[in-house]
Amino acid sequence: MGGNSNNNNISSAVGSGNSNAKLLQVLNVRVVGSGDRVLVLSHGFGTDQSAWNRVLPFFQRDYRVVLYDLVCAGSVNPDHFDFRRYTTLDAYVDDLLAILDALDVDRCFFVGHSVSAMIGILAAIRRPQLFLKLILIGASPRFLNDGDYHGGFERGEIELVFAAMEANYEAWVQGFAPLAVGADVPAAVREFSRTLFNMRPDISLFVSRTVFNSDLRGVLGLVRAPCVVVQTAKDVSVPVSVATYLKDHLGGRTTIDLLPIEGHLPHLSAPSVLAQALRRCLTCHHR
Amino acid sequence: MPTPVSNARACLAAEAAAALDDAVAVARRRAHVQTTSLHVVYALLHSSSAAAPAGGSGGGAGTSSAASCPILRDALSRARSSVYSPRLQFKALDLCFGVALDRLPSSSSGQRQTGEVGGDEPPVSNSLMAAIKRSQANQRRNPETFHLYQQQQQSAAAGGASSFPGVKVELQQLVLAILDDPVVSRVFGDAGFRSTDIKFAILRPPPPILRFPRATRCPPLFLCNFSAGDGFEAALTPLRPVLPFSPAAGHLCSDGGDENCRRIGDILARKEGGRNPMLVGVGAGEAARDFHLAVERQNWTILPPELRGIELLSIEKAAVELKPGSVDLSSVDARLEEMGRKGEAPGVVLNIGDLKDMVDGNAECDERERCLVSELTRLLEVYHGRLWVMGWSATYETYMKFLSRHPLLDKDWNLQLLPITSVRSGKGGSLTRPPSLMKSFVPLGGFFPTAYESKDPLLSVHPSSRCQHCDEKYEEEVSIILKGRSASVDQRDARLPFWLHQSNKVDLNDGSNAAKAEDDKTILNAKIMELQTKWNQNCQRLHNSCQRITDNFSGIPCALDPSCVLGVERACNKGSENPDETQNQRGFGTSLTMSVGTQKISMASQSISLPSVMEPRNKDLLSKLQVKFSKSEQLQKEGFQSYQGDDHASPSSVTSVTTDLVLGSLPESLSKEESPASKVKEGPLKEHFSCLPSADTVKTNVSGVPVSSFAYSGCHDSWAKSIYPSIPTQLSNGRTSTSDKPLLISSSIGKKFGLSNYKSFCKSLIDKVGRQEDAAIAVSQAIFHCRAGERRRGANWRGDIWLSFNGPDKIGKRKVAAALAELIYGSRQDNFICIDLSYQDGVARPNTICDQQEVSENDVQSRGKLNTDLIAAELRKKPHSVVFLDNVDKADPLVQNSLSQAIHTGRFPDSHGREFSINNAIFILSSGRTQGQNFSQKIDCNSFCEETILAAQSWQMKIFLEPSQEHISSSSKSNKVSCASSQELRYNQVYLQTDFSRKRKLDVYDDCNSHCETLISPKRARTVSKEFLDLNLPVEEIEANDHDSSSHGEYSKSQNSDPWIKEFFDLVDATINFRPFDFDALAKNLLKDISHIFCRAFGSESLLEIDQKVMEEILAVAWSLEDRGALDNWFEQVLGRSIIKAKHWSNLSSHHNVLRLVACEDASVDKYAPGVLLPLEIIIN
Repeated sequence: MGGNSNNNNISSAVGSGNSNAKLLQVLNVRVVGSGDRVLVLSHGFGTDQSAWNRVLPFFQRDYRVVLYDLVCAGSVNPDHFDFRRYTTLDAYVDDLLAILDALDVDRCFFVGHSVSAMIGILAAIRRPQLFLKLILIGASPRFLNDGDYHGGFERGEIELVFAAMEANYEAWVQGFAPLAVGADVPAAVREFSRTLFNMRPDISLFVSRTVFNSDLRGVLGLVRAPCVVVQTAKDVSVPVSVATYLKDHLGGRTTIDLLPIEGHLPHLSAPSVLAQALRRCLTCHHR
Repeated sequence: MPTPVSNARACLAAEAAAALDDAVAVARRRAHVQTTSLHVVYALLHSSSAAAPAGGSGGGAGTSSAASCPILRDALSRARSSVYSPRLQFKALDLCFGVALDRLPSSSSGQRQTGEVGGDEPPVSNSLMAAIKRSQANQRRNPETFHLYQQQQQSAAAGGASSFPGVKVELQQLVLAILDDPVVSRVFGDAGFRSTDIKFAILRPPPPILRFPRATRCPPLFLCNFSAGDGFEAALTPLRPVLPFSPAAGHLCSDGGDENCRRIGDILARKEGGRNPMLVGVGAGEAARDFHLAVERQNWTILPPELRGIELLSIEKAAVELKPGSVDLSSVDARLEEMGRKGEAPGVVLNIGDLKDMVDGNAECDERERCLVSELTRLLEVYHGRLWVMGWSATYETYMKFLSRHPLLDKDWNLQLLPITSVRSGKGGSLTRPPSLMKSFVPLGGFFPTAYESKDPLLSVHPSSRCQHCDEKYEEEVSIILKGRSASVDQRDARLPFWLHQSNKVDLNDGSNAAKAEDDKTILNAKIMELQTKWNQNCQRLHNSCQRITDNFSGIPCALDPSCVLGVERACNKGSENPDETQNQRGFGTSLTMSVGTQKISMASQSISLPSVMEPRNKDLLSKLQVKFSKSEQLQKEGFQSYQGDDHASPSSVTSVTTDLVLGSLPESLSKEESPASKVKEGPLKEHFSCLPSADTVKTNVSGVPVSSFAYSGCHDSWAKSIYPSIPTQLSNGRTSTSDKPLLISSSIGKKFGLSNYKSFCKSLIDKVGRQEDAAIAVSQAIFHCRAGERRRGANWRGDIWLSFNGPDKIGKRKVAAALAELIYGSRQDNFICIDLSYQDGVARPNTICDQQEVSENDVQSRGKLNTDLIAAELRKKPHSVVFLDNVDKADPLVQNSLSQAIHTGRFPDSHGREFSINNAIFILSSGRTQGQNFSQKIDCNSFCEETILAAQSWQMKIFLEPSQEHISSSSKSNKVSCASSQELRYNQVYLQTDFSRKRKLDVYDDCNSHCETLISPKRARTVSKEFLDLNLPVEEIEANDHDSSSHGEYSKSQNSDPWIKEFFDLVDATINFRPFDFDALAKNLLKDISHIFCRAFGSESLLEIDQKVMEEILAVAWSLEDRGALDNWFEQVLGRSIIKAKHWSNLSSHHNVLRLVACEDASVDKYAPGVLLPLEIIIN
């Protein structure tokens, strides 16, 4: 850990930003749609950009939609995941900003799910001008309980989860996927299991540790962009109190959009409900 | 035209060329005309099978070039299906390829002899050459994998690429391309392999560790098999974390400290813009310390090169203790000047530490602080480029406070905010939680905290990172305690934190003491905690630096725990990279995994139960958003809101406990909160009662109830008469008999739609629907127009018809559509598609009567499906049908697209782009909006509006028996059955939000018909108040919410679909407007029936009071039912019987009675009466 970061493999090249084209390729960046406004869809932990497939058609007419994979996604070559670089969320933010720069996006709407919501928050802090609006789905600034803050998880529980992941990843996936999807939508469970299992287990564990070690509570106030917190009625990962916490602490004008559906992955389990909600969030920014 | 072998070989890298040579040799031996892909594969299989004994022995390829690697064989072994034994399958593969090769045409001997000079080698076939070209292109397109590949195969291949201008195809690429060859994949298929699987296996090589020659079988894909991702080098270098996962776990604990340092360094190295980092975030303090440590240890690798040799001075202490800042700064000044002279180091970073310390000071400190700040500003200007300032703050608020005290400081100092988000795992707790809590998760696997905490003692070694004064005193006191227990107490060492020293002693010299220490640990910990709190307080009072002390302390209980001593020690000596420790961790790891099983289960159950507790309140929150649907769940909603209020007031009570406790306490707090609320509700209620006698005087609005201007025909049988005038030609009654039969008109035949048919069609349509005569006539007209070819739209003739139904009476519209299906296509089951577009994904539809009566069968299938796909699927199933799309105005863009396309092209596309013909379909698009005439005022004036009826759910009903009270005498003029009308509801709505008390007086009771006297139902009043009065929220908030949601809804509606729907409705063949349904008349009718039944049972002395909710239920049923029979049955069987039962019950007090029929809104119906969605039994109370 001494920090000999002058490794010569590809992953360092990804970060250096000298080869944006390569980054776009590595992270499977896709731009679809024909609108004049740019919409970035950023998937969360355990999924990849295919998670947005069912939501995507709703936006292709009016938006230029940027899709990409987080470096930890199963669809990205695991060789690109540098365990020294992706120790904090900031590295993911670098990726996101590099992508947007490479695509010459100067302002965009950002939709982020779970981890990506955190990434979006950090990106908006770093580049306030870039983001017109953040839509945070299943977002949490901190997953662990801490004093007055109720994040939904105890450290001990989490360690158990990690241990379970470590012991038998497949079994863990089988158990976790239905829990996360929440709603009784077998197709969504199947899809989430697939993408979740696509992740290499060590990467998956590493990323979840990174996520659980992140604490954004101190910096929420730095966000200037208006935010919409999209929260489902029942989410195993994010209690509703977190949404109100976000609303209270995010620096921009923030609203909560509670969806009458269940689960942590509304874009899989109830795509059109989510799409409607997103459209609503996106269009009413003038007010 | 085959290619000479030499040309082909020129395109290949060494390995691949060798493979080609092998293939050529095979082809030559078999005397084939050309070398094909099959040969290459065959050669590859055999050259590798020479190395792997498992392979077949046939052929004896002989050449077995050293360069060829078992890449294909390896991939095959991973891609093969597990059903067969590997031996068998490989044997089969051999045979298949042998047979395939045998089938190839062989060259005649004569040809061979006359071949060209070099032509000893059979030339390369076109297909193989194409494969080579493909792979070449592929490789050129993807230089990255090329490099990657080269890196991995650090063999002779490395040199080849650079010397030639053309791309040399690597073996891997070649194999991939050859697998694409259909001939090859067919042969593989014969042998039971899928070439896609093989390709995938090649593309995703097994984890590096398996690439060692020994590893022949692939172990299961668990974590422990993976390296940390460094590839070969990592696996080969013994000093780096070698063993794949567990060291990675040590690695995983790496908390991004380096990353943070790197970021800080990046900011410091900036040339322009903000170059002085200001760390903000919960982990900011740690990050600052990490950075400090890195500079201290001269760990330059994580910092940009230009910062090498930088120095870091901390004036944190000065800032804290608020000694005159100039003293420190002058030393900085001096140091900088000296450095400037020597020109050695890049400069000095001045760490001002936690901003909180500066912000929280008192007035006297302010002066000094201002002094310090201005001095710093000056220095920064003077030594621009060589002096940096850094600080940190745990929260953004503190930083803002700091800035507000020193406006423009961020500009003056060139501050750059750096959000720090990663928190050290073990630390997260220790920062905010008392150590005792931390200990609570030590048992979970003792090693976690040790691993995480290993850095803390190191950190605290540094003098600058704590408040020394307090620390020393504290240490003294602790050591006194320790002295009492352990024999040898060493005084604190200047370098090592004393407790390490201490524990060393305990551990090494006095083993028994260690055991004793464990025994006494609890006492000791208690003492230490006591001390800690004491000194925390002291320190906070004196120096504002409690934070640092707690950091130090958190290590103590751990260090005293003998099991942890080792870890801490080692961490101190070697840091977390130590291989021993990782082994140690692994040891723990295995023991943990054993216990995981049970723990996991408990985890799962816990996480399941958590949401289930939260469910009710969540649901309520939602229902708040759904304006329409809000009525039925007021009780729960209130519960939630009161909970919310509680949450706001004292969040700590809920959240500070652990999850388990939260689970327990949530419902408690709910119920607790609820009871006062319900008490309050009771209050006004009683008042209501008391003001009842005066209710008569308030009855003002009797005539104000406008009966819909349309003659109400309701469910009577006599409707037919009223419509005759409006039908163009008088119909003879005799014809109805014919029209009762389905007309069975196939869509392609238009001539059947003659005038006479029109009449009968119209008649039977009206017959079937039972109301909405105008609409029915309009529909018939439109359909006959369309069928007759008078199309408004498009020159080309199409069979599809598009109608739009506008206006209220949702059920009526659906009935018309269903009747159309029956009349035109024959059956309302097989030819009727009814989809409500306002629901998405089959998501939990509200449990309303009107909906349940209709949709039920495709609920399960539709779950998770997009509406477009749903429609398309139905269309595919039933191409001859009436497609009734309700709430088109709420259609999502996908459906909008599909509909637009369908109306233009005659084909309906689903979301995957498949199209379905609609040539034989009638599309009916229904929306609540009205065009032209406006019925809305009329709806407004009705006592029952469509929305409330639509929202009615079937609740369990209850009959309350009340002995007579005096108010009965005042209102018991003649009538028996009364119903609280909804008129007052509307008034309440208006007034409630502004002033509750006023509203009570302004309740307007109306009396919707002359027979049934209306009596205000107290129950109703209560539900009203439940709905709108939330005592736990300020009035403004409710209003704001209300406003928000309503404007929200309107907004989205108008934004989303307004233009589309207008445009679209212009395209349809006909627009039919529907009239509002007269619920009042129906209610009157029903009440008459009920009163009849009641009179029979009870006589004239008593009163039956029907709750509004119940009335809505009954109305909803009556409205949506096909015929009244089932409802009449229910009146007789259920209601009548219940009333009689109630009479027996009340026999003791035979005089004036009041019966109240109410809905229990917390219990839905268990058993439905046959045919209606009403309870089978009514509870009598």
